[in-house]
Amino acid sequence: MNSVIGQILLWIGFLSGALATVFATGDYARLGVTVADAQPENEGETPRVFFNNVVDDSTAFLGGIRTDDTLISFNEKAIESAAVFSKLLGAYSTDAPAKFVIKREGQTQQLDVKIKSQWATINWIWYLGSAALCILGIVFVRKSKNEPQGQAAHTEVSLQQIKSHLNNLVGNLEQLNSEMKDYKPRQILNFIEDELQDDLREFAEGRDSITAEFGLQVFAEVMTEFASGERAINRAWSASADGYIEEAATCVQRALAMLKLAQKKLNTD
Amino acid sequence: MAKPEMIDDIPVRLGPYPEFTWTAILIGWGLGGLIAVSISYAALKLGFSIEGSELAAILGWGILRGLLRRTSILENNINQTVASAVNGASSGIMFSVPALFILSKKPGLESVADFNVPLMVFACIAGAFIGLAFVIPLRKQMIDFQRLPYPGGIAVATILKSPGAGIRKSILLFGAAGISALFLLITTDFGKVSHAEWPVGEWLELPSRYNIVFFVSLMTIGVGFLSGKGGFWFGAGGFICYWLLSPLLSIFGGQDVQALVESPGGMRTAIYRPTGIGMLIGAAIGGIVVAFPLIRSAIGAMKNAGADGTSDSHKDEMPVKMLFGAVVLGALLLIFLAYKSTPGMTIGKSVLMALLGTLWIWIAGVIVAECIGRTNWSPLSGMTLIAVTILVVIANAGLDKPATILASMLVGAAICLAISQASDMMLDLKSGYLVGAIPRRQQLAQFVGAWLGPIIVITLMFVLETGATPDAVRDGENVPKLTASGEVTYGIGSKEMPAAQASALASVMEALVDGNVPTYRYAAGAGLGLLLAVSGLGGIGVMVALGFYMPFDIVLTYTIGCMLRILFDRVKGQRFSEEVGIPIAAGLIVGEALMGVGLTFKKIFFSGKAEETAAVLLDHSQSFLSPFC
Repeated sequence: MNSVIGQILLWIGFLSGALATVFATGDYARLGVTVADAQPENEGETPRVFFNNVVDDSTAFLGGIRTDDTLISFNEKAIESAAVFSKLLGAYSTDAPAKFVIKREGQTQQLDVKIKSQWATINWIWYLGSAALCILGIVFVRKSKNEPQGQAAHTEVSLQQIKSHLNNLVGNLEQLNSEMKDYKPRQILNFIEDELQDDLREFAEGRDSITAEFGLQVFAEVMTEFASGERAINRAWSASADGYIEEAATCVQRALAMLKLAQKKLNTD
Repeated sequence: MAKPEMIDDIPVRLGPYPEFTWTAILIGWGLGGLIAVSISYAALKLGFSIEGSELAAILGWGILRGLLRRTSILENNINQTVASAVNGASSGIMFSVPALFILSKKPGLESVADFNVPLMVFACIAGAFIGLAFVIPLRKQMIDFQRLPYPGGIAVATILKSPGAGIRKSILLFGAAGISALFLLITTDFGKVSHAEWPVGEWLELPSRYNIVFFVSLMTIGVGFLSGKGGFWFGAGGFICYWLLSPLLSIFGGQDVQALVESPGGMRTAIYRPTGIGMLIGAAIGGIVVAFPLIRSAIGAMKNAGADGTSDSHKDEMPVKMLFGAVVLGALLLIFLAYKSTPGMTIGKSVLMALLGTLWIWIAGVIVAECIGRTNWSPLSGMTLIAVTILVVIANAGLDKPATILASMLVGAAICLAISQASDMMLDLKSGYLVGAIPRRQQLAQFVGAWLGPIIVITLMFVLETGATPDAVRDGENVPKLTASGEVTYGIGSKEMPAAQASALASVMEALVDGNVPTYRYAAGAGLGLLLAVSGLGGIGVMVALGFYMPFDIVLTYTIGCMLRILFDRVKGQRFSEEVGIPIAAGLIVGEALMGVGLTFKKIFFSGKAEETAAVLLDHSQSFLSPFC
């Protein structure tokens, strides 16, 4: 139950956080400028140069803007939407306050412009709330993993299964090892494919039960021997396919020794 | 237990089994050089690079078995390891270094192309070696313990094993390869486009925000099949973006996002990709924290295996001490390289760049190893972008623009090579595991090949850039380097050699130097990735992040492969998937990769450019060799 609740909270939190992250483009934040010193030419007249404002979403209208090293040319027309304005300003971006020089009707007017930080693109309160929900979910998920009920029985079954696969592997390898001198390369190859592959796969798939029962250190030690043994079996397959039966025999002996060691470590612990 | 039927179709051979031989190394160098030149040239022309392992395995198979009558799967494995290590430079360098040539054509940045070539080559080789050293403990963690699928590694192993796998599997492998190659040929109109796309959403008249466009590629379906259910969360990341967030944003999003949401390409570039990069970083850091006990246990198990004398499994591994040695040596080398990169560089800044660079190689190494292990895609460009961002931020203070770019790119190229080699090494180690190669020998083979690639690829780049430079420029005449709209007129970056990835990096570098980076998006994404990584739902952080990062058309096609595998496993059983599905999937990957390379050759050599290309290469080979003659 805790696992289900945890996962629901985790995913709601994640999706909400993702939505907060992608809610607006950075260009919109750059649009959040305010004209600090735009004086109308005549008293009572509305200034003719505006920047769009993220707060009240007012319409922008301007002629041409020149910064120290950037020229953005506009036609003398109203810019009707924030998106269009955003594209026009897309080439210009900085988090630092900038000086714009507005040219109009042959006159030059310099304006100090505050540029809203791009960090304001993301609503951090919304984001942190979502993250808190995620963390709550994680607590539930992790708690569910430590719940004793049902887990012990499940782990025991898995552990018995993987021990059984390991026993099969050791038994079959002992048979192969003892009869190898009578085998042709193709027979070794077929034996590996028919008698060993399924147990190798099943053991590998159930390997997490080792961690659940014995912890990471034992898991690492068992898997080190198992993986080396499996690799030696793969090498025996390659050597058989190429006809090198001496190498195949050496690899089978090596694999047997490694898997026996894995068996011992698993049974001892 | 019944004794297997006596079939005597494989001749018995006595004596040691050939593996790490001079034949394998020499052919690996030769093939690797050939593949590196081809793929690097293709990367400059077409904008993407191709993993060379499959090609090397197939060609090696032909040369070693066909021509030289050699009979060892493991020898061919070493050959493909060396060859792909040489070729590892093509993606690592072609994504980064050509940016210097492109930037050098912009006013005020002319000097950035005058970089110290031996130093750059040395940086790339050093980076490659550091990357290889960093994956030593990752092999045990990701291949032995976590058993990540590494679809590309499975494909290569299937090719390597084909001589012994029996006629049925060979027919499946090569039959699927033929179909995949033919399919690519037809769908790309005989190579006129790099890949076809099927806009199914448009055909169904669905809103463009859902981005239902399929990447027409049987290889991608094959990769998805090999990933199986493990690829589920990668697909989920893409679906979250375009089928959940985009529709929500179209109603509730900010005004500007609402305007952008119907342009999925714009959404990816401006929003999902940077968020994905951030998530990848957060997920990697979270993943390292979560996996740290396992890494520690892996190292402990390696030590214990040797200490009590009961096991000899540790003998197959490179010593762990080499990792610690590589960290120290790598950091010292990067300090030296950073310090020598440009005259104004200080020791303090060099130390900072080197330490953060080394730390980033480790984090990025974990990211790419996990991504390529689960999905076969490596976010190399995103990881290089972050590396360059870190480096530019450090170098920018006190240095002018060209010096900042030069220093950042030199160390950045080393990091890019490190990441590229790390992902290649992990793929090769997976194929090695499946054919029973000894990891230590394979890692050694990767070192043997990794030094050669940077020399070949950087030389090739100079040959191409010099060859494409008009005679008038060499005569000192004032030839415009940029068109009125800012496009490069000749050489690397021009429409003849667009170098798409390096051009993108060049733009980003300029923006970085000017202080325009979406750090806010990276930070928010990193938080989300970190939370997923520590959630206890194993490995989903990196996968979901990669789904945000990758183009959705690839995700959609990949998901078909994953679903097919799940279906096959349930209906026909896992054994059937392994016996029939995997050879077919591997064939789909191999066929398309080989046809892709073939079409590239066709574009280059059958488009009236052959004589011109040969003349340029000859001319510049002479000019390169003249000092020695």
